Amino acid sequence: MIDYKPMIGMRGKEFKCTVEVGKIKEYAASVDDWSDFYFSDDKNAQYAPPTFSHIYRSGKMEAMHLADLSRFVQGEHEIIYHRPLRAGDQLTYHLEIISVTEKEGRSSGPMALIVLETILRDKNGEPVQTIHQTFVGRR
Amino acid sequence: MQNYYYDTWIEDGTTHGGLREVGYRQTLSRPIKRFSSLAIGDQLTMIEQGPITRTQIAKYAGASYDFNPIHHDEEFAKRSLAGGIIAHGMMIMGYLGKCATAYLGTAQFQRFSSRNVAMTRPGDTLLITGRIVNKTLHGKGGTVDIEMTAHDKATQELRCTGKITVELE
Repeated sequence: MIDYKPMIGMRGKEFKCTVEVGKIKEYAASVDDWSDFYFSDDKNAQYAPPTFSHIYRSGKMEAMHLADLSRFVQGEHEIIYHRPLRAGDQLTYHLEIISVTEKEGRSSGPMALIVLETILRDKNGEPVQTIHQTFVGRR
Repeated sequence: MQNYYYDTWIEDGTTHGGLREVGYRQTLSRPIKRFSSLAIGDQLTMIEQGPITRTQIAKYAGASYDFNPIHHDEEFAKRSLAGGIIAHGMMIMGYLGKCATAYLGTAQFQRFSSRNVAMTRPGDTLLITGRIVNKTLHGKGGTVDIEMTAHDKATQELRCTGKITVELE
């Protein structure tokens, strides 16, 4: 049995990105959402689709390096919005494992639930979004 | 409204696909909902997504920078636990978001969570539904809680559940 508790507090590498007008359009098209407020070129009218922000952190799973990800599936994905996300926003992503819960599954045996938190902050340090992803796997 | 968009690759099942409306695409203006116009029990307008194609999944991979081969490489995907190509879980969550914003307009989301229950594969058609389950009045408007689901159209299998809280004037 693997003890995942030592993963609590593990952090990923902090990184920065700028939200691009074209990327918002490309993302909206990829979920077949043609609402005009995603396709406007007016900075004040366009904003990002609700599930947009995860794209810049694809593959950035350093905080999870102690877990064999092939043993885990993603359970819940939760996004908390502090303000609308718009093109031109300069974001810094902070990733940290905030909890590990061990459980006994009735049929699945010993399980671990790992919660990875991502906080997106703007260039003034104000939070824009907080994302919680729960990974579920066997211990 | 016609808005600039770089290209659109359409796969409609009757042709081998093709570039249509190159550079431009019709976009839709959305209604703006008011807090007072919504009631507990109201159903969101159901949307049908599909049949989902490999091209759409590849498009999502590109848009989200998620090139896990389980989503586009048939050989790799067959050897994986999924046993074949599956759609990105976040693409399905994206469809839930689309259904909600289509109904609510530009309402500001406060919280959005989803849980994938079963995998979605090429050829599947999803039905996305939502229902208002709670309303909380504060100030001039309030918050509305919505429960969302995605079901497979052919088998009625539940694929994804979601919860959305939005703030409305």
